[in-house]
Order: sequence, then structure tokens, then C-alpha cells
Amino acid sequence: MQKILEVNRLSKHYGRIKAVDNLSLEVEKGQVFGILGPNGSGKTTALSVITGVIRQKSGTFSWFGKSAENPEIRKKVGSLIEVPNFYPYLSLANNLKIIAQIKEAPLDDIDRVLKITNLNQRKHSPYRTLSLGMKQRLAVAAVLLGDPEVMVLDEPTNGLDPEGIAEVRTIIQQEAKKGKTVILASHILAEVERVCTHAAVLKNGELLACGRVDELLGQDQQYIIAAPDIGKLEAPLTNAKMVKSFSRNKDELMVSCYPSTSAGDLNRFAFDHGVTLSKLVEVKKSLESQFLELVR
Amino acid sequence: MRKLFNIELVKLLNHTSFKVILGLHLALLTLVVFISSQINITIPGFDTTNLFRFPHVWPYFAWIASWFNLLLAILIIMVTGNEFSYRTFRQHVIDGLGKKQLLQGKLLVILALALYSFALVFLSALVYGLIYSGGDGGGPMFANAGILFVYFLQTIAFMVVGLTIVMLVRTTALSIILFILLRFPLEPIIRSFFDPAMRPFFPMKAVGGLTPMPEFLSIASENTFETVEGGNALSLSEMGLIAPALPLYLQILIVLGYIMILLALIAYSLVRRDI
Repeated sequence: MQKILEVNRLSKHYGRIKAVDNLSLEVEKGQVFGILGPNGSGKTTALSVITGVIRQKSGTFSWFGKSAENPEIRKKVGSLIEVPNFYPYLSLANNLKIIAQIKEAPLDDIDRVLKITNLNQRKHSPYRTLSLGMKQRLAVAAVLLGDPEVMVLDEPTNGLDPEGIAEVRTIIQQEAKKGKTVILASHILAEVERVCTHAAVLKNGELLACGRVDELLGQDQQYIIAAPDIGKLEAPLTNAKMVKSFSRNKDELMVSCYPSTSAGDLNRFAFDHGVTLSKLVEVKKSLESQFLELVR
Repeated sequence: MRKLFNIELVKLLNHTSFKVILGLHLALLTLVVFISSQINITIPGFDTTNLFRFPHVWPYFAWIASWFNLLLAILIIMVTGNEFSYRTFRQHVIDGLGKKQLLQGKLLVILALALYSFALVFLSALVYGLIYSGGDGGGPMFANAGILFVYFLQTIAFMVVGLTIVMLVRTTALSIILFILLRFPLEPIIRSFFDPAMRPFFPMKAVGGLTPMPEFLSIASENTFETVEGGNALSLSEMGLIAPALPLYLQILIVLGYIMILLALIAYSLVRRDI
């Protein structure tokens, strides 16, 4: 698989604050790569470095295996970092015309991207007259200009209403289906879980976890088990190799098992120790619970 | 280059403040030239309309136009300051423009404004020269016209100083204040602490000195008082009323040197600082 982005031991400090610390990750072609982290975790700083607007203190990164210094490389990457930046006095069409000229994209592409983002009715309105959600949609339109191979989106649903969020999600999914690579930073975990194939979790500029979303979710198997004599199981569970941890809540036990432990394995274990389970429920972990576990 | 110029054109042609200030420059320059042409002091042996005759009209108009370079410098500060306040420089880099291309784009705007100003001064001087010379009393038509190229360099230099300030400070209002302070009280005060021989080497003095005030008395009394060598006896500098200047070629070299240093400083700052 072609490497689109390779980040190697990247650091960026603001005085004593380590905004990004020793970050290494790889994004391959066709991945929808989520970057998760609480506020101040270094998501935007990391994206600002890889899009060339701020300089790293140390470390390297490359796009398409080539030096990121080359502006031609960045033309293959459509990016929305932080907030939309446009000329308030210019119309939407003129703002996009400037970006199209920078990216050397055909000018008729402007109509295409305005249509995708439902802004074609406002084509000739000055940017300052748009609502917050419309401004965000225009930023997404700018990202799509020139049909880039990679889309870098930093909180693309900021300020959008539920309909707008759904629209942006659909756009991302459609572009991903076309084989495009998407790098998406967000704190809306449900969005990332629905859209992304891969994710990295940052905290205080450090990488806490990175991998396929299903792997991140599935690293631990959790089950709720119940039985009238559930207390008999506590001692054996403490020494069981498949069990990572467990906690008791009245007649129920929440058991966290290592990956690949099935419900059958747990049921057999209980039976072997003389307990017949009256309840055995697999708990599907959400990205949110996994994220909170990681960042705490 | 063409791409960069087209991008700048989209920004400028739709920018109301830019059009207003440029219009103000055009109107003020035209008005001042017109008013000065209406002030005629004509007594035997003394005629101020000589200033509007060839070849004196070229340096005279270049000198008047140099007063309004301040407006052009403010214009370049404003359009560049906007890029920082709208964060569009940052967006341009994200979209694939190199940091040095940001500077090249603004240099193209400076060049375009200098060309506009050059053309305006050339055309108005030509028109007034043709009207006032009228076939008698005028010298060789383009004898002093080379001063307009010096004026062109001066315009560029003023705008480059403005561009440097705004590129370092990154806010429009503060940059305009700093530029005006540097132009009027600050540099003259600093200069006053130095030996008079050193003063022409200061940036604002060097740039301002490219289009010196014409020798009004000498020009107005032309053909009236002549020394034995054929020169005019009413030269302001010879009378000690204005300080003698460095040779023009040296002034041009000093200004070219400043322009190069300032552009290198901007390029260094753009590459080293986050945008």
C-alpha cells in the first residue's frame, strides 16, 4: 500500500509547552484516518506542521514519499485547518477562484464544489454575509477544489447544524469511496467511529494509541455475567489467563478479557468452576469509552 | 508570476478601500499639480511657469508626486496587513503557495503601483509641458525625463519599506503608525545625532533625496541672471539654502542596497517564522 504521509518523531514546542512530542505515524492510501484527542492535545498543531504553516522543532514528515517543502506536493492535498480563512469582502466565487489559481485547478471546478456543498445559490454573495455553518461548508468546498488526492480536515463539522454534519459526513464517505485518503481531526468521537478506518489518539502532544478503529475498539472484550452464586467465580477469575480485570456490581460481574476471548470461553470457564451463568452479555465498547479510558 | 499577478488582481480589484486610496492618490496628485499651475508669479526676469516647461517639468512633477508616495506605502501596508488579519497568507500556504511566492505576489503589486504612478506623472508632465512650452522658451523636451525612472525607484523603495514593516509587525494600524513615525519624526531625530556627511546614508533620507526639491529661483529666473561660466546665480544650494546632496548615482546605489537588504529580511522572516 502506498504511503501518503509519513511522520517521524515530530515535535513542536511553544516555550515549555510540548504541543506535539515525538509523534510518529503513517497514513496509507485510501485510509480515512482519524486524529482524536481532547482540547490542547496537539491535533491542530500536528496538522499545521504537516501542511507547512508552522515549523517543527524536530523530526521529519513527507507526503507521497517526497519532501513536504515542495509546494507542488501540497497542491495534491486539500486542507482545512482550524477555521475557514477567506477574504470577507470577496464573493464565494472569487474566494474559490483564488484558491483554484493557487492549486492550478480548472475554474469550472468552482461550480462543482459549490454544488456539492449546497452553496451554489450564494455563489456571488460576499463571504462576510454567510452564516457560520455556510462558512464551514465553503471551507469544505475549498478543500474539494482541484479534486485532491488527500483531504486534511480539522474539525470540519464545527458550527454545523445536524443536517450540515450529516452532509459533511456524506461528503467524506463519498470521497473515501473514490479511493481518496482522508485525515480527519475531531473530538466528535461518534463521527470518527462512523467514518474512519484508522485512528490515532493524542494527549498532551503524545501518541497514546494508533491503529485500525476496529482494533482500537476490540482490544479488550467485555462481558457482563450473572449467576446466583457469582461470588464463587471471583477467586478463579483473579488467576484466569484470559481475564484482564473484573469488577462486581451486586450479583453481576463486569469482566474485561484479553482479545480473542469469546463468550463461549467465559461460559465454559464458569461451568468448569461449578457456576451456571444466568446472564452472559457481550458489551460492545464505543470509541468514546475507549478514548476516555486512554486519555484518563 | 502571471498566476501570482492574477491572484493579486482578484483581491485588489474587488477591494473598496484599495480603490478609494488609489483614487485619492490620483485626485490629490492631479489637484496639487493643477493648483500649482494656477499660481503664476510673472514679473520681468522672473516667471514661475518655467517650472511647467520642458525640461524642468519632469523633475518638478517627480518632486510633487514624491509627496504622495506615503499614500502608496499605506496602500501596500493595508493590503498586506489584511492578509495577516484574514489569515489568508496562512491559507495560501496550506493550499500550496510557497512562502517566497507570498512575497513575490506583493512585489508584483508594488511594481504595478509604481508603474501606475510613473505613467500618471509621465502623462501629466507631458501634457503640462506641451501646454506651457508651446514651442517657445522650452528646452529639449526629454532632457530631464530620466528623473522619472529615479522617481519610479523611489516609489518602489518607499513601498518596500512599508512592506517590510507590515511583514514584521503583521498588523495594519501599527505598521502605518510605525511607517509615519519613521518617515517624519523618528529618522530625522536619529539623523540629527550624526555627522552631516553621514545623514544622506539613512534609509528615508536616501529614498527621499532621490527626487530633490527643484531649484525654484534658478528655474524661474532662467535667462535673467547668469554667471560668467553661464550658470545661474540664483541656485538654492549654492546660496546654502538647501544641503548639497550626494551624486545621483551614489544615491541610487544606496537605495538599491536598502531595497535588497529589506527584501532579504522579509524573505528570512517569512521562512523562519510561523505564518
